[in-house]
Amino acid sequence: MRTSTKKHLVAFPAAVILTAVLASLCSTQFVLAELTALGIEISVSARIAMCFEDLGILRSLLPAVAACWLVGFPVAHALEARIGGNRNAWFAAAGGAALVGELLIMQAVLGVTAIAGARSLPGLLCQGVAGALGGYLFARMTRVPRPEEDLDA
Amino acid sequence: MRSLALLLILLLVHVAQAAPRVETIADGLEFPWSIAFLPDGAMLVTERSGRLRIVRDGKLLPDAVAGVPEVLVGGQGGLLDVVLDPAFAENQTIYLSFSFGTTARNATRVVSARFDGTSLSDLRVLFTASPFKKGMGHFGGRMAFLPDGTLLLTTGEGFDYRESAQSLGSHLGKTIRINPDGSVPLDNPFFSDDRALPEIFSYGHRNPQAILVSPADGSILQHEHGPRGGDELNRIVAGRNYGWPVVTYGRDYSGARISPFETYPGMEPPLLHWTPSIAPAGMTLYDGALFPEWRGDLFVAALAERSIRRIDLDNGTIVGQEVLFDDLGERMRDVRTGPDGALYVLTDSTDGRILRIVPETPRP
Repeated sequence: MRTSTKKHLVAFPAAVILTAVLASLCSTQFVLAELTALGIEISVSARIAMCFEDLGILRSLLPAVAACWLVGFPVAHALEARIGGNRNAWFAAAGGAALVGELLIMQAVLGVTAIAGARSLPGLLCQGVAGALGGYLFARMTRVPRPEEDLDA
Repeated sequence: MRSLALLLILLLVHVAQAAPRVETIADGLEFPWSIAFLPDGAMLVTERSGRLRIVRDGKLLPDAVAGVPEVLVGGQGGLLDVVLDPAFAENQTIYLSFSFGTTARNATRVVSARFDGTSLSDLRVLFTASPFKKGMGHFGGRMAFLPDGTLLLTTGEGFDYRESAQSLGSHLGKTIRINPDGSVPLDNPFFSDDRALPEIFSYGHRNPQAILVSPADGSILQHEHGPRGGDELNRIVAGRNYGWPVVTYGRDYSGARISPFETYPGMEPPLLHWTPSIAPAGMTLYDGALFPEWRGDLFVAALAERSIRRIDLDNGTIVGQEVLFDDLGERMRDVRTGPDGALYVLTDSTDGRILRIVPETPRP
């Protein structure tokens, strides 16, 4: 198996897991913030417990993130090849945009927001940031070494 | 000899309580939602698609009632409840609830109208929930009259607006109480609160799908859909907070928690909750003559469970539940007690039916 293929096979799941975990944590915090805004007192221990419990949504979030990136990352690769520029930035942008786009499409189709923490614009943007960080991680882990790095190796 | 007599008595009791018979009164209804019994023996049935139909002499009339207002149809929205005025025999007035507006901007609305047997006239808008919301989920829409002549209406919280259920400045996720002319009763619990909408009777609801007033003691019973789990049966008291979305036994559809709390100070716990969800729809407090053993029990139609739940009440206390008619395998939208003592059930599909449930054998 080629080294680049191995890198992709490791990097993609790692990035998906990072984004899904961050997206879950972001959603929980926004849901809790909405309750706090109602005047509800929530202890730190209750917040932490809910964060861990909500990781159960990874069952659906992991495939959802993977699915949108199967579209987003090839687009990022093509844009980088065509336009040039920073590869990490392209993949970070694609990772965030694909996740936000997927949530918006689901909202348009279902008529409701699939992730409660993404109902507000800041909540949606946080999901985008989670996607961007995953995209960045993927780009870093799959970067092609420059010639001088090869010589060093 | 005594044993033989006892056996005979048990046999007679068994025959008297034989499995009820299910008859189809009408079919071909498009998502029937609610049913009302007219004094002349006919029935009015709403179809969520926006038509009001008449069943007369056991037959569904081909023509829908004319003059029904324009209804926003889609998702969970459409023509919802139909209720007769308590003095219908004198004033021929009915009340309709429905979703109104556009997909991007809509609300639950109630109108009154005079029904002459074939059409509606003198249409009056009595109430429109505020603020308008986006999306076609959670309209509530069930109505019931209180003994004082005021009208109760349930409203949903619009799904994506769940925190609005806790806001007294919003009609979303509330029980509303108005006079039959649309004015606000002066004794509503928040009438004098400048920060609250005066029509609000109770709050903290998700998507209530039934409300009724017990003729025995005037208590108000309501049920509402939870998300994934946490469907609730509540006893509604003026001014009380029923907790959504701060307290719930359900989870979000994603699997995430709605809140860390199942109870919270100042918020009413349900009489019971269904977890996992059964998706309760209509409800009746049975007081008919055909099933004496069921008198005083609650019957709840269930969409997801595809059944009718009998809730055994003993002096207002729940002592048991029974799942009935699940063998039919149909989503049940409404259940009512007919004037003849039979149970009437609406099934929820594009080919919806009106079922009449009677004892299998004549009562001794």
